[in-house]
Amino acid sequence: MGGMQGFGTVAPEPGEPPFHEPWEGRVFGMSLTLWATGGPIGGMRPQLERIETGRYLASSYYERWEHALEVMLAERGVLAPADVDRGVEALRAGGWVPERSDPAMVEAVLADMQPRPPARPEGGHRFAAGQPVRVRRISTAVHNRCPRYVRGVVGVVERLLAPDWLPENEDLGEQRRAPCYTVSFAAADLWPDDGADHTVLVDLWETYLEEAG
Amino acid sequence: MSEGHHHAREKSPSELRTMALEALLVERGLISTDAVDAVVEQFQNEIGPRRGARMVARAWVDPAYRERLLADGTAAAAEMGYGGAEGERLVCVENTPDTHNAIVCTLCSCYPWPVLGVPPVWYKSPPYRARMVREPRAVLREFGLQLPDTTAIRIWDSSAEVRYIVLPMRPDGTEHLDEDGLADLVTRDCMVGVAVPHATEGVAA
Repeated sequence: MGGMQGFGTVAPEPGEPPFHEPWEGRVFGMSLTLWATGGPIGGMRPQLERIETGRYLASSYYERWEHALEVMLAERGVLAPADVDRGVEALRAGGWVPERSDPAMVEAVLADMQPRPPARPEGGHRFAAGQPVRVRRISTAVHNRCPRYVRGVVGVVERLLAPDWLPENEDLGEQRRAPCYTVSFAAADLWPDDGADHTVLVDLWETYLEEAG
Repeated sequence: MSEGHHHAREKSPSELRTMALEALLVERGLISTDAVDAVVEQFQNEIGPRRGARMVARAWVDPAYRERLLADGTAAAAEMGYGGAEGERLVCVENTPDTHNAIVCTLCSCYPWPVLGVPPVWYKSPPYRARMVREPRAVLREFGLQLPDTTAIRIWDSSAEVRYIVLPMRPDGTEHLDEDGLADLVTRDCMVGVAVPHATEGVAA
């Protein structure tokens, strides 16, 4: 969404709680529990970006999470959307969510919120700090993490970041790491007619970059 | 989960689908209700901006910790016992008299959970995500933060796996405060970079 216009002003809410409704906490908690226990879901981000644009904009954050959870569980054959429909009917007819206690699972989710030993593969960077780079004009339909507003624009490598999993491969079901960079862009290069003077720093995988000039 | 008394109020479709999902996942043995309870409890009571504020306050009183925080945010957070999902590659960016930093995620709502908790709605909203990279001075003014034109603004878009936190400047007139008193001045918004701490402030957002 970076740089898009027409969304209006930012509306902070004083004293905002972590979750506005209990169900938002349940969606969040179910997701973290499934991740912590190696459950049958993948990453949230590719799913959220796959949501049809009109629906995406009309939904709240946790409504999108709930929908994405359903999609991921259906794709992995755990349940069908019709199962959830039937569950909703059962709840309307007076049903309830059964309680289930599992101390090992509680331990797993709490362990997942603890510091982890750093896993930082080194090296293999093609570009150096201070080097100008141009962001490729990526047009693939595959999930990626290259913001549209920097595509085709020249920036300068601010710092090298450890290689990380390519988001594209998450979508394709394979795992490969590539070096990452923080790239610095002048606002004047991103939006030449704005007259703005700030700097935007964007984290990009090496596969999104090419030598400038 | 405390769903024992859900009468009167009409449930939204998302609430009903969430409850149905939870029931199905419990029946299939994929989650336990007490594990979900534990996550919610942690993010409601334990994992929030007070953690980041403690790190900032420590950095203000302990130059060696400040150095470690700026060199490796993940390790500096782990020192305080903070870490886990969405905090595995934490980078701290420092405000100076010449430079102001702020964070955004234009692609979704990436946020350093272990040190700030879950993000507020405005951080996840299209206006913030769209405008913060393009017209940050205007957005900051709307938050009540008027920076001199000479202050350089650096906006960090966490588009990959690094999560950012801002180290604000220690306000004048706080020499008498200890670490806890200083942490009280550091709100969530100060660590996102849409506010700066003031000596008179006393409540962490």
